[in-house]
Amino acid sequence: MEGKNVTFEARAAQGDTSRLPELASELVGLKPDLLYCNGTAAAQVCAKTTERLPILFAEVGDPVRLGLVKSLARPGGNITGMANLRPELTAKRLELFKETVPSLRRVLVTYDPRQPEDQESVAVARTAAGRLGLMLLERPIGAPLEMEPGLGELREGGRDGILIVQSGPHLNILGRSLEVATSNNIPTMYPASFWTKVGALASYGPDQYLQGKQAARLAHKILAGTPPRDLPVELPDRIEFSVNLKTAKRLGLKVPPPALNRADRVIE
Amino acid sequence: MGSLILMLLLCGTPAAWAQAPKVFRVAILTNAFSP
Repeated sequence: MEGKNVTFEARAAQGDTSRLPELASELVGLKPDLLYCNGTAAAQVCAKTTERLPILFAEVGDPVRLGLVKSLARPGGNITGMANLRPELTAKRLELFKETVPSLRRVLVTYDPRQPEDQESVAVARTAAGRLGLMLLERPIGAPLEMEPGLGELREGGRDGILIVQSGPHLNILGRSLEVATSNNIPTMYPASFWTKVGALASYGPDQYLQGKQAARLAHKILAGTPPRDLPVELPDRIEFSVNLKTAKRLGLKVPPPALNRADRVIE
Repeated sequence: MGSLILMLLLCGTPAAWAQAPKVFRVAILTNAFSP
């Protein structure tokens, strides 16, 4: 319980990954009992900053491919955490997007080519798009303003849509895409239900609240004395598909009953 | 003597003191925006 048997010291890079190394060094200097890193970039920086302090990560796609752990079952080293399967879920996310909006023909995906998990997710989306008869508009960007031309290409009416493959605030792709989608009546598919609650049309991905609870269980085990190398990396307990019918109505779209039946959460 | 009793009253017995629960310190790093 905070203040009774645990205290927290948090640092947030405000979406600017270049600040992470400095903030990680600052936190390591405080000699905490546990270093908790949220997001791929933060986890990579923490792993580079200390090989001694126990590290717990969350919101990381594939920690083995990123070199954070040796294997999911036996992480090794001083680090373990939660994998969110971000790239792997991209194909299913696009498939559900097409089921939710059958008129969909072109899908914009904006990404940072410097991020390996972004590249991987786009490659998965490309294959899935071919299978689903969709045209994927791939737009690599290096700065937030560079996403504007791609967003400006989209037209309302249900033929164009936006697929989000990121889960973090890097380059503000998630926030800006929703702003433009809302003002220009473009359907969107996000990786977390948080975004359907704030106006996205649909989402497919791990339940973030449950992921937090899973991470808390791992944190408890580490603080109780189990070394991270002995704690297997956990996968999400629950993946949910969420649809916002208020947004569908505003967009003038009728979500087919089979898609609605598959939804774990419907916002009306 | 009086000050020793006062100290014991304020801090508890030395045995209880030794059993005081540890306060764990958890550091959090995120790329997100601070709440």
